[in-house]
Amino acid sequence: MNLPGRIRMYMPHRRLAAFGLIGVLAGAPSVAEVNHEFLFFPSVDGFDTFSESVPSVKDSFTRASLDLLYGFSGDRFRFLGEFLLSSNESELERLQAGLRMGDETFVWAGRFHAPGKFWTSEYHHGQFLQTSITRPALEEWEDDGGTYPSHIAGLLLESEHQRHDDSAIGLAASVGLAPVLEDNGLAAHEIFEGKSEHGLSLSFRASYRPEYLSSSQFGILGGWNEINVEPGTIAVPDELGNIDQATLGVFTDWYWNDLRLLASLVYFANTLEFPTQNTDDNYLLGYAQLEYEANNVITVFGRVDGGIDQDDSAYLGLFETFITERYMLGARWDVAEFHSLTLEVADTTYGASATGSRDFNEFRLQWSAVFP
Amino acid sequence: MIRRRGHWLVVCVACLITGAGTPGDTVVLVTGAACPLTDINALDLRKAYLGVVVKVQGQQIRPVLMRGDERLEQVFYQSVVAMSKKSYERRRLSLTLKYGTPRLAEFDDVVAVSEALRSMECGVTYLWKRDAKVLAGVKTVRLLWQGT
Repeated sequence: MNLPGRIRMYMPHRRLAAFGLIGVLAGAPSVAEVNHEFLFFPSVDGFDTFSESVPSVKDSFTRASLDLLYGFSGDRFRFLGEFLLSSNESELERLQAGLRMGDETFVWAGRFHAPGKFWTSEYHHGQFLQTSITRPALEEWEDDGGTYPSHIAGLLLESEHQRHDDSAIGLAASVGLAPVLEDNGLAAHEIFEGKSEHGLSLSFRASYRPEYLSSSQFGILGGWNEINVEPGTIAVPDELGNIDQATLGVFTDWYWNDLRLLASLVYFANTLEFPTQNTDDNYLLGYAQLEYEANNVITVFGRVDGGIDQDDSAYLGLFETFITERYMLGARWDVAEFHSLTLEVADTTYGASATGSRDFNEFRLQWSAVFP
Repeated sequence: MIRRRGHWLVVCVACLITGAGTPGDTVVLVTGAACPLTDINALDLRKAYLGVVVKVQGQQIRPVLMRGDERLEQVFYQSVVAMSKKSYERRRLSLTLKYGTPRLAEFDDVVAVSEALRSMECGVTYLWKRDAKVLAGVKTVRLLWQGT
């Protein structure tokens, strides 16, 4: 399938993936110590709007999900598979083989979560481990209306270096295949997909932790993605060929006793390539989530999602339900060691330029857990 | 009067948690008798229990968790990893989810753990000193906590 106005490069993805995996496996020594790990993250969400009905948003729904994680580890070799099964979808989210290159350095090949999205590479699909039910709009998955690639197929380097003063620097960088834009949003590359139209994706994150063993950290993240557009799927007057998306941002996850701040700000520079001209589209997206652990079982939290110039973005206008602004409050009750109940209320605004913005109020309730 | 009662309640709970009501109790770090380690500093031990690869005297430390004894577990959370049980468990889950890091072996029986330590290359765990003294094939490498 040729896209207008640009040279297409067909990549024999299946063969590349096979060579990548063989390369990683060939470097693995004999396995002396072997471990298998299984984790199950079930959750059930209830959603209800308590304002007037708005287009493209259901008034209420219930969704059940089960995230299955399998991990294999030997002395130097690791393998990770993550499969999400829900009432909406079933998808192999991660399938990656890794080789330990040093005590704290791994090279992975396969399908993984983009290192340039903090929330994505911190919580993956383990709903129980994130305090809130919802993710910030900036961190949303592709198939939940996300506008920024979350799943990459290719190579990933993850490394952490302890410094003399007991601080640590973490680095993660990836090169691979970006999602394509289809009529219902971004579609990530599937691991067993053959020849396809996916463009190049580069993604990175560099973090600093003042105390090596602490969870507090801050850093920079960014990337460059060539997001190709499936022809005829976007209702625009002139056929859009592809989108070059460059991003650069900062993030923090910081703890002060019982308080925790999760925040990120990312600047987007998009170039929308049409057959006759290009359109530049720049905006800033961000969020700040503050959590207070009132005691060992109750955590209250709130989050603000927003940005600058996101309401007028031509690119975000292609995503009908992208949340441009949200003010959320919530509480989580850890009813048992590995079970929690969480509720959220929010004032949400969605839809950028082309679609026009809409506003609604929402209420969510969730049970989440982890086994074994 | 009400405030004074509340104060005593806090003191009693603290005594139960810290084991201050049983002076002389001691928790020690043990390893298999064949392991050449003679000591492990507190920071290296904390790192090992938090999922970091730690080598001491050329030997990789393989930490093991003891379960089933609430007071022993409290000593572990306070004196070894210096974090709450909730934070520690979340961190272990997070490492497995992110990197496939294997979770630590767990035991709730001192005889079974001593057998495991004898078969492992420098496996370590924490035990009451009175339990460690009677186990064959394990040796104490560090005093972790002492009741006052």
